[in-house]
Amino acid sequence: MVDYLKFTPEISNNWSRAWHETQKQRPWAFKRLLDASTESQMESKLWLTTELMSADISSKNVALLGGWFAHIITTLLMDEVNVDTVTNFEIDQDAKFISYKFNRRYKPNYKAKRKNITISSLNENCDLIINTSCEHMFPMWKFRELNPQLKNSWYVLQSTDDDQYDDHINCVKDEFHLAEQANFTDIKYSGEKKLPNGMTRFMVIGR
Amino acid sequence: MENTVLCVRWGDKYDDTYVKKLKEQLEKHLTVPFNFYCLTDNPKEEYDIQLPTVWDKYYRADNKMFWAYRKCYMFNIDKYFPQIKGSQFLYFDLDVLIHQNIDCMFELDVYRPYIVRGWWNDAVNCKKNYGQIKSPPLNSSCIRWHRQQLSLIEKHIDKHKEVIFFTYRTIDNYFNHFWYNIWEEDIPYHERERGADVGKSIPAFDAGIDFLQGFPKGYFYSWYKGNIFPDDMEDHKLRLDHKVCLFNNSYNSPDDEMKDIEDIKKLW
Repeated sequence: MVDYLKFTPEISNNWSRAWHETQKQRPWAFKRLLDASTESQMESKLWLTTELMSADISSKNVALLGGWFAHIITTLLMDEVNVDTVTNFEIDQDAKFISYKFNRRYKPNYKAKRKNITISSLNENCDLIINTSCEHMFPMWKFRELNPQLKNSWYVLQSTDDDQYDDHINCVKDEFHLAEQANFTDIKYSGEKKLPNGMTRFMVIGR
Repeated sequence: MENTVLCVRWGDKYDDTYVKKLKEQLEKHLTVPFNFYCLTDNPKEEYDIQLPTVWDKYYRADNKMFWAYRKCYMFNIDKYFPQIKGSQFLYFDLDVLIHQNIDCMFELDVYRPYIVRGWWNDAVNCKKNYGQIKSPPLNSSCIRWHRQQLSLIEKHIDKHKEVIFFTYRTIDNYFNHFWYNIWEEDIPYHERERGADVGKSIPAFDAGIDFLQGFPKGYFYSWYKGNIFPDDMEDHKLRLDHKVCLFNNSYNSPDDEMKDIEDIKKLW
C-alpha cells in the first residue's frame, strides 16, 4: 500500500520554487493550485497508485489526460511505480507551465503538452493512460476511438457522481458506468472511495 | 468589394421587430452599400433565409442555455447559403443598439477575423476560469470576416460536433478554447512566442488559437456589464461616444429586454 509521498530535498526544492513562482508570475492560478493540493487530491492519487501497483501492470510510458498541475501523481508514478516517462496533456496553458516547475527534477522525462484529447489523437506511444478528470470531459470511448494505436494500453480512470459543479459535465453513477463509458472489456480493478471532502470517487483499471 | 450584414433569428426569444429595428439602424449608421439578410427558422420577409437544422438534434434542452451554435452555419456561406451575395461580412446579434456610423467596421483589415472582446471582463478571471469552461473573454454579438474565412470553424464544429456540443454549452466558451489566445491577447500576433515557457517553439494549440482577434476598445460596451475593466464598469449607462451597445442578457435572467428599457426605446 502506498500511503505517503517521499518528500525528498529535491522535491522540496522544486515544489517550493514552483509555489513561489506561481504566486509571482501567475497569481490567478494560485487558488487552483491550492485546490489541486488538498488532502482529498492526495488521497485519490495514493489510492490510484496503490491499486495500479496491485494490478501488476508493467508500464513505462504514461499519458496523463487533463493531468492539471500533475505534481502529486507524477511524483508517485516516477518514484513508486518507476515509470520512465510521463506526458501530461492539458488544455490549460497555466497548468502546463506550472506543472513543468513542479516536475523540474524529472526533466526530460516529464513533458506537458497543450492538447484537447477529446478531439485530437496522441502521437506519443503510451502503454498506460491515466485520466483522473473524467467528469470534466466527453466519455472516454471517444478518446479510444481516436487512438486505435493504443488498444493494448491500460487505462486508469477516475470520476464522480457529484454533479453540483458546472464543469462536472460528465458525472457517472458508479465505477461500472465509468467502465462502460470507456468500452472496457478487460477490467483489472474497480472500486469507489469516499474522500475527506465528502466526494465519492470511482476508479476503474482496464482496457 | 461587396458588403453584407447578417443577423440570425430563431425561436421566440426575439420577434420580427428586432430584425426590422436592426435593419433600420444599419440603414442609418452604415453609409457604404450593403446587402442585408436574416437567417431564420421562420422566413417571412424578402431578406429572410431559411436556417439549416442539421445540428438541431444535438441541442440539449436540459442545459438551460441559449444554444447559439445555429449562428455558426453562417461561417460557411458557400455550403449553406450560396444565394447570399458579398465578400465582406458583418454579423450582429439582434439585441444591439448602434450609436454612430459604423463604416469603419467594413474598413478593418480582416487578415484575422474580428469578434467582440468583452473588455469589461477581468482578464485574470478569464484565465483563472479557463479550465472550468467559464468566464470567456469573448462575446459573439458582432463578428467581422471575409466570406469563407471562418469556414474552418464551421468545419471544425461539424467534424467534432458530438464532443463540442457536449462540452461547450456556449459558443463563446468554445471560441475561447479553440480560436482565441487569452494568454497573449496584448501581444501583437507576429511577436507571440508560442511555447516560449518550455524554451522552444511548439505548434499552436490545436492550430487555431491565434485565429480570432478582438475589436478595438471603444467599439462596443455592455449595458449590463460595463465597458472596460476595472476603470469604467458602470452598468445600465449609455455611452454615446461608443459605436454599439450590447445587451446580451443571460438565458432566463431577470434582466429586461432592450425593448422594455425606457432610455433605450427612445434611441432604438
